[in-house]
Amino acid sequence: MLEKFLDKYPGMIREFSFGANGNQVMLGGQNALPFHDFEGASGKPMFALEITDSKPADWAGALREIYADVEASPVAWAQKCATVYGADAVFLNLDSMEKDLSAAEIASGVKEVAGAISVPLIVHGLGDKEKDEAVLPQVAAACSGLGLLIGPVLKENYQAIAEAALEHGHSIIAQVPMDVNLAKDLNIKLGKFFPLERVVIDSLTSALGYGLEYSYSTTERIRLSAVVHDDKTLQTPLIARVGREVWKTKEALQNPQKGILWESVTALNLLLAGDDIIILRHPESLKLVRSLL
Amino acid sequence: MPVKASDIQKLLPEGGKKNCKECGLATCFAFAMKLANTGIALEKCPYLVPESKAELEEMLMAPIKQVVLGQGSRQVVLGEEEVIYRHQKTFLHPPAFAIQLTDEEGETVWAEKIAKVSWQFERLAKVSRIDLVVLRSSSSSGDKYLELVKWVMAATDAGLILAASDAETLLAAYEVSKSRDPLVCVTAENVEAVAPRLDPNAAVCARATSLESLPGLVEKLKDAGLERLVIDPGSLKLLDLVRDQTLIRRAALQHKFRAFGYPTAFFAVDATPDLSLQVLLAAAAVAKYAGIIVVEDISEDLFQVLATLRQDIYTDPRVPPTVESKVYTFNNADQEAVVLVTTDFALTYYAVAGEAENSKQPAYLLCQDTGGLCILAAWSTGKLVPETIAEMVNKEGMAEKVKLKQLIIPGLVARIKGDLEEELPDWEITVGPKEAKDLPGFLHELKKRREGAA
Ligand code: SF4
Repeated sequence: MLEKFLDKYPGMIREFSFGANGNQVMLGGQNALPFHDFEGASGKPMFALEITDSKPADWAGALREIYADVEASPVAWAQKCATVYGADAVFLNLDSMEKDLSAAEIASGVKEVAGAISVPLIVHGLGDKEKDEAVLPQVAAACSGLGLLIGPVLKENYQAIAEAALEHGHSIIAQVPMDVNLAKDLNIKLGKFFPLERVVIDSLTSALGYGLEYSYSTTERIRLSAVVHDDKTLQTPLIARVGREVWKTKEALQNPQKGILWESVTALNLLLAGDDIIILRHPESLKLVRSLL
Repeated sequence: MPVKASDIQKLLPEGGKKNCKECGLATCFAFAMKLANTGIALEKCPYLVPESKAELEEMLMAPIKQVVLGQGSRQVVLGEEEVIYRHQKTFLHPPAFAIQLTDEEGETVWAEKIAKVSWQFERLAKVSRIDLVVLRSSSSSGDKYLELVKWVMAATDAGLILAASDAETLLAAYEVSKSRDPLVCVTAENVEAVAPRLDPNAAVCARATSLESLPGLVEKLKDAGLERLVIDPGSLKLLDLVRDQTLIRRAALQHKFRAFGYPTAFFAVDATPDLSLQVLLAAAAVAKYAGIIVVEDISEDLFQVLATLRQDIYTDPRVPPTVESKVYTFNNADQEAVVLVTTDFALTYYAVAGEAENSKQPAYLLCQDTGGLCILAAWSTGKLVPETIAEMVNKEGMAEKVKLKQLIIPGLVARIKGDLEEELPDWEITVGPKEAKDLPGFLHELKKRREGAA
């Protein structure tokens, strides 16, 4: 009787995988809206924990306590996230780019981390057009063949970073400021020389109470365009940097328990909207959201 | 989906070509347009034949019925939603949050829970509360349940939801609390016994155990003359919640399936005993169309999470939230205070205001009228530029308010420093941090430097 209310969708998210031999993960393949298992394949979300390659001086106190034993060593930190907390991937922030470190040094640090964990690695620059353009291609070269997911790639610097990623077998994060059409534009540009099977969209995230509704609707609209309207340029997985945004809110800073809920609820709602890869900072949030799925 | 004026016109006199103007409009089509926007009563046309009138009434009925629960200041309006995705149009009536009391818990627990019903959580100038109370019979004693009902009626004026599986217990509670217009939960097991004995205008929640069995239960209630309905497909897992609520919304809006044309309920309390997970499920239900969301209990933190989410999801997607454009003061700003600049986009303002306060340093905050744009958007559209900042500094007489004349601009618009110095030659223009969270540290440094220089 309810069959008549079911929809079929024309679009499908491209199959996407990253990681080196033996630790690859698969994403994509959805031909239905998020959590619409009753209408098709709705995908399985992936959770990464975020770490940084230099002292996380500006991180919330509650987080620094948890990672106090490993914060001096990105390798140990990444291992803890993967083995102790069971993250599906590690998200490495290259905060060391703010310091006087050479691109070669930064890149070899990344390689060390990638080689030390049994889950895929996501590597993220500062979002600074010039600095990222100088460092990320070198990271791509140093980690050739390790199948990283590298970002952010912006409309201002996509060429150089994407080319390096292509040459060395990595995937990229196309980052745009909260807008469906900008996401489409950047993917069209990338699609001219880069396989969209290896692109993930980051349409920027805001935390619960700080503009979550904008990220929610942008994400939902991107996924609707891809699945319902069969827009080929948007048929890529979506990534959301939840932890970073949540752990600078006053709610999280004043009360870590509330922070965990804030992070979990932000993550859950973005999953409902269509995000596939969720970046978190607190391992408890990871546990909580996972236990629900 | 909205009704098309052309479809309405076909049912008007002479196929909508009579155009006699008696309804006060120039043509039948103009009347049809008004009807489509629910801007006029059907009765204004005196020539409608009864069959067309009935058909039009059916056509113009809201696809999801409005249901009002609770009384006075505790009134809650549900239903009338028109879209599936929030970017299409604002979700209209935010879901009501309900907390559950059971007759077995006893007075100490009741008192703790009822105290929470008077919490008021304010954010962005709006107050959120726990709206409704569910009274659940979990003992087998009808007397115990009545005791709970009477106790709660005396303790709060919030709207009530009665949930007892035994028909006699439920009806006794209904008689006792009738003056409060409770929402009565009815299931497949007790519907035959309960439905005929309720007032036709009673509010009823049809609680099915599956989406598939829900229409049958709704039909039974409608046959008993009950129309003020809330429907619950009995979802217990996240995937079921999304499926059930989505299909209900879609069936009501796109297929005009009347049995699903009512606000919905979701009992997170029945899904898991874990309170954090109940709140996560409740959070999913906020985004996914639930009208009433029931939890077993809630802490202040958890409630704040849910209330904030409800506000986020139910904001108008087309209008950015703004705060009043004026000069705000922090930490008893006086002659020694610095002057900060930001925009009236609520999210930007609250981030900056929160940190200005955290800094514990006296400060004025000039909140520029930008129509709700963030810093960069305001700058690029000419609404946060040297001229507008200088104008506000002068208009508000800031030069008389402070001795220091130190104006701090957002780090994101560092490039306007030079031009602003020309506009405000008496002021020292300083570039502040790019992110609000760095403001306390920045102000602290600034103060140290000042004191060092003095
Ligand atoms: S009164 Fe009725 S028939 Fe006359 S113009 Fe209006 S809608 Fe048409």
